[in-house]
Amino acid sequence: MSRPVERRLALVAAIAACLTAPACSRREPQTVLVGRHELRLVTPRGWEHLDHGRQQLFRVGESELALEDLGPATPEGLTNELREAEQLLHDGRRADALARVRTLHGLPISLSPWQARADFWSPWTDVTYNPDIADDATLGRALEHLIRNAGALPAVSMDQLVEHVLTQSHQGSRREIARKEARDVHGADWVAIETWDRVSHMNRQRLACLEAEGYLLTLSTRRGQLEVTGAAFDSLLASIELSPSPP
Amino acid sequence: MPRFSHRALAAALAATALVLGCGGGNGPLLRPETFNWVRQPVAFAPPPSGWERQGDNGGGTLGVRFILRGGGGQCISVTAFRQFAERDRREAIARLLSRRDSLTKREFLEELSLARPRLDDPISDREAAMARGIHQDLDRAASDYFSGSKGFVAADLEAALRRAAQYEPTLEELLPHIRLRPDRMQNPEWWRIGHERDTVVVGLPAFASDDTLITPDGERLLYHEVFWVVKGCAFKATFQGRRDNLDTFHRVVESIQFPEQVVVAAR
Repeated sequence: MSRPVERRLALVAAIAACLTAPACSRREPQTVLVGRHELRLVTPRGWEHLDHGRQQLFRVGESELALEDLGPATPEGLTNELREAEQLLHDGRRADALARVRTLHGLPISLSPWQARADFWSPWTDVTYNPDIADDATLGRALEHLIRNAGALPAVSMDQLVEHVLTQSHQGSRREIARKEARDVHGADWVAIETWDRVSHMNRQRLACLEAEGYLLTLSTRRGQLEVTGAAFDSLLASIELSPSPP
Repeated sequence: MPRFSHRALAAALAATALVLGCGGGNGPLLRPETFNWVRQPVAFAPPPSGWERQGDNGGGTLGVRFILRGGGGQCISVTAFRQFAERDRREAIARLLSRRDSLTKREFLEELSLARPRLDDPISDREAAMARGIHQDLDRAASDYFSGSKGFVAADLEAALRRAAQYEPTLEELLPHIRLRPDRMQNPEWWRIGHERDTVVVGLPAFASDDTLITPDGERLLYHEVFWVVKGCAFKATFQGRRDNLDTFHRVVESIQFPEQVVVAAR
């Protein structure tokens, strides 16, 4: 082989080594608890990870991505929350149980007409207008009634979920969906969305959401240009692997 | 220096010029995009990447402006007249009609007030009559609501919706409000009205005007405008620039389409 050809081959090999180096030095996934969701993920290279419990933040410079649990998204999720309140009551933690129900929220409730919302809550509000009067047995019966009501709430469509996620992520106002696609990530059915400014079609931002076991998990771009956040968003989303829930 | 180096240099310069030319002011248009500024969407192919995009939200319009980099203020814009589109209360009345039984009293009355059309500064006598009629229908809906007659409320709202659907402003009605009038501009002496005509552009009735803008430093720029009114919504395409970029404007205008409304917005 002539020397020039050898040099070219060496150059090609060096370039190939540079290109494949990041893939070879893969980073180890870490296990995090995002609200209800236990999952494994890989923080994008060069990004800082802040664990705030229900909200996991990823930052580099002025750019920020957020992985969040937005709470119950289906009647199943609401029922689960109420069962936990019921358990707290059985354990003698009455104040915690009351607080748990008082702060209960979820899409199936908020999307219902006001009369349906009133009907949903009436078994509980009828006995808790003065919480000091209601005894634990009365509260327990009211909780059972609420659980039945939660199970009867209508299912939430994927479009409603997406609209809710856009509103929550502050991408709803003045923005519209430029692209929406289903994405299978380690067996989970995510919906990946790209939004842009409604007027100019500039300032694209990415967002993804997943309904898992009745709860809503979202990955959103909170700050930063797509040129900076796009690749990190995609790599972070591709790395998310939900742990199977215990039987 | 060897002779082939001159050739290589010339080829490189030509290639660079070609690349710059493709991305500059007169290259091929970009992929068409659909904008939902008002009820009627508009789609067009934006000018090449040499024209820098900016959102345009002022003076009662909503749109996008493309400014030629290094072009000394040359720009192409496509805008919708939001202020006239918002006078159409069909969507608000239809929403109230569909949600009336789900709303609390306070919510119902709030949405009822939002459904009322504007009475001030009417576009035309036809619009003024329509707005007065809708106000009467909504007044009846309010009194029927307070008297607990839900069936009558629905009938009143349906009457208001029918009345609102019967009127859509035309190009002829809107043109006096939207065409260039130098006496209404901050610096009337900058504008020279040229050739104005009723015409057909992209298969739709339009009003076109080829005027001149005299900049503060004395340069005379072409100032061309095309107006359409589609399903009651007014649109305008504007070119402000030199003759060598006029072709780009014409190509953008030729790419304009007014597709059927599709729900893509997430607000």
